Amino acid sequence: MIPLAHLSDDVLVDYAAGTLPQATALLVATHLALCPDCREEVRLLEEVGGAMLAERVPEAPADHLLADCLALLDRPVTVQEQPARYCADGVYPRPLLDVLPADGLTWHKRAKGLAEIRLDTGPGPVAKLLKISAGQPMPRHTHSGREFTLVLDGSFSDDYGVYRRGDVAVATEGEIHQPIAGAERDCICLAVVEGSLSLTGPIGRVLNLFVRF
Amino acid sequence: MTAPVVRPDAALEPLVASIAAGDRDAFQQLFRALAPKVRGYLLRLGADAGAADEVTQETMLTIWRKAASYDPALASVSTWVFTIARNRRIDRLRRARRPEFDPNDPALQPDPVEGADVAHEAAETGQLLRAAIQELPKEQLRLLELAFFHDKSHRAIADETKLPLGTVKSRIRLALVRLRDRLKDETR
Ligand SMILES: [Zn+2]
Repeated sequence: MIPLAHLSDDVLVDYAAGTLPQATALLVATHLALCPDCREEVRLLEEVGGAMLAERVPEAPADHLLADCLALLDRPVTVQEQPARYCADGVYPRPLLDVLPADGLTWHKRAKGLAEIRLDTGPGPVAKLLKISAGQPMPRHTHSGREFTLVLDGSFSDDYGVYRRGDVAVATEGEIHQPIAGAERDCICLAVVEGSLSLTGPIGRVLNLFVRF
Repeated sequence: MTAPVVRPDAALEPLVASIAAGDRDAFQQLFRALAPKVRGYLLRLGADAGAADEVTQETMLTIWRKAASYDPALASVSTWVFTIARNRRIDRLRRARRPEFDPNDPALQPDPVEGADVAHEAAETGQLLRAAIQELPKEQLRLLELAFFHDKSHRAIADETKLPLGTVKSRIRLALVRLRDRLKDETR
């Protein structure tokens, strides 16, 4: 199944250029694993990067840099690549597995029908896995930056439509929304918020204590 | 140092193949052709001379180690080198690996099967793109360059150029549409 809700050009350009914060780059890489269309787009954008590199004004390094490199060519590589780890049931593509604990997932309950796992993506925007119980609405909320939600399993819907595996919902700054998990089974998604998130409404104010992005 | 020879990209491919076989002369040639470009890229992104040298060196060493994995059908040599330099730079800044998809991941949604006529040699795509980029309107080219060669997201570019974010986005999109159209025309 090919996703229907994609990432926009500007996000893919920033990914290809290498300027996205790590959490957002993780979400893009995960979408790319699930979306041949956006993979093709990034391949083209990287060709643009390559063409621009080829057009760069050369800044010749000092002569010794080549000699230094040549001296290092036969040095054995000290950093071994981690062996690839793949998900047995295929829910989590590789870019996610690389930041998930190897010894199983521990979901932290945040509210009724909502559990999360915070991912280690360094400083900057936060990436989380969310598990929303089947048929459960997410707390109504708004945010100061962009919010990306990528479906990994199950589905959810909001005012714009239904999102399934691989689809990305992007909520812009200040937009208030309330996605609802599909009734068929629990919905697992990857959520990234660039900026702070706040919950709205009376229930939201209480839930703010639990869902801290 | 003599001025580096600017080679058409396809001419770099045999060099990478020789490097994969352990040819040090080929490595020196590729170094002279591309290390100054990589260094220019890093300096433009705000690296100081020391950091630029270091990441240039790491990039060239990665090329030496990974030459065997270079696939000309997937990317031109400049593009392959661009992605290596970009990733080495991110590694250095964040001390974390850049998140990327893994083509061997069983969870990967496979590419739709392409007809043979769609398949297009990447080096050729690179050449066409380079020509098309030169023909872009100056303003579009400037924004595209800012996006690739400054450590700035679209939002930061909007702040710096004092253009509304929507304008930056739509101009960059226009530039990409133009490039895509050119590629389609040429390959048809
Ligand atoms: Zn997509």
